[in-house]
Amino acid sequence: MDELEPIRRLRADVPEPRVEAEVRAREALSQAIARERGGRSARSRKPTRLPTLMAGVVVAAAGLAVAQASEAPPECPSASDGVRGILLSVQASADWRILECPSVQEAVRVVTEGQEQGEPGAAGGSARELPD
Amino acid sequence: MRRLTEPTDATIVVASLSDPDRFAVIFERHYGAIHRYLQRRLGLALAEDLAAQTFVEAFAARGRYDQSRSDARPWLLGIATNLVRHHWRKETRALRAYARTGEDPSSHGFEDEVIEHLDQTRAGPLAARAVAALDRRDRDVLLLFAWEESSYEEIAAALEIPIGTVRSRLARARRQVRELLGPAGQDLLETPSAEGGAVNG
Repeated sequence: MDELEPIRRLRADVPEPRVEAEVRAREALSQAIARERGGRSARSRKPTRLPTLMAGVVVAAAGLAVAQASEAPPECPSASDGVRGILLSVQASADWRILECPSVQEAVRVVTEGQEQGEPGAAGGSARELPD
Repeated sequence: MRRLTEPTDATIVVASLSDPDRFAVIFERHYGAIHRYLQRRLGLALAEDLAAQTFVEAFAARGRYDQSRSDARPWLLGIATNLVRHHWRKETRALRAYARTGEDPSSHGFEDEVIEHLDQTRAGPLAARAVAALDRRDRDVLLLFAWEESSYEEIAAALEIPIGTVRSRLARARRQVRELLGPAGQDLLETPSAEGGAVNG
């Protein structure tokens, strides 16, 4: 018997991360990046620098392939999409500048506050609309 | 699978030293894997917080990244494992509870009151008891090897220990698991539907 086989079976097939958690994690990292970039808060910086991650790659002269930055900021999701709709837009977006959108920041705030108030899955599956 | 033209993780990490925004690529590539690892070990609620923390800490520590390692996953698993250590007693309690009840808490989080997912293999509770009994450091090595399919070298890089130490810890863990599973574990593996012996965490 391979004694590790029962251990491998113990390895649960866990579901994909919840979109709320992933967006909050992106937000946390985005803020850390913003802090390092210049001490500006992630809330106040202009959405002009984050790269478009999936926009393709180019091979730089030095031989290094780098992500190609997008010129235009991403289209912000509408507040009428609801919290979950907005979070799904963030998850699907390759451009982290979407985190700067007011509707996204409000959605993250709603999710974070729900989490802090002990509402696991707060806003999850919600079609709740955000205030304009 | 990553295209050959795409930059390696090492390239991205190095680029992020001058352009911090680049580090977002590391998140995009590895968040799911790190979250799953943490969820398997500590349950959903903690995994969500610790997965986020893993990337924030990795970003802060990227200046110390070993650029000879093209894949950042072992490095991130190491950071995540360090975070798990702050919660290893909770992990042990959860494994023991699993051993007693046969109910796998990882899909809900250890603190959830309602556990719906029942393990389909009778060997699960025995294995949980065996893992719970391991020394914390041996457990880290064993789970990185068995669950994350990390190589000795990757585990050594993740935990910042010599490969020889990985080998010795893994050998000790395997021996201990073998002893704890014993003939009952073998029977259960060969006849999954058979009733297991008493498991008393």
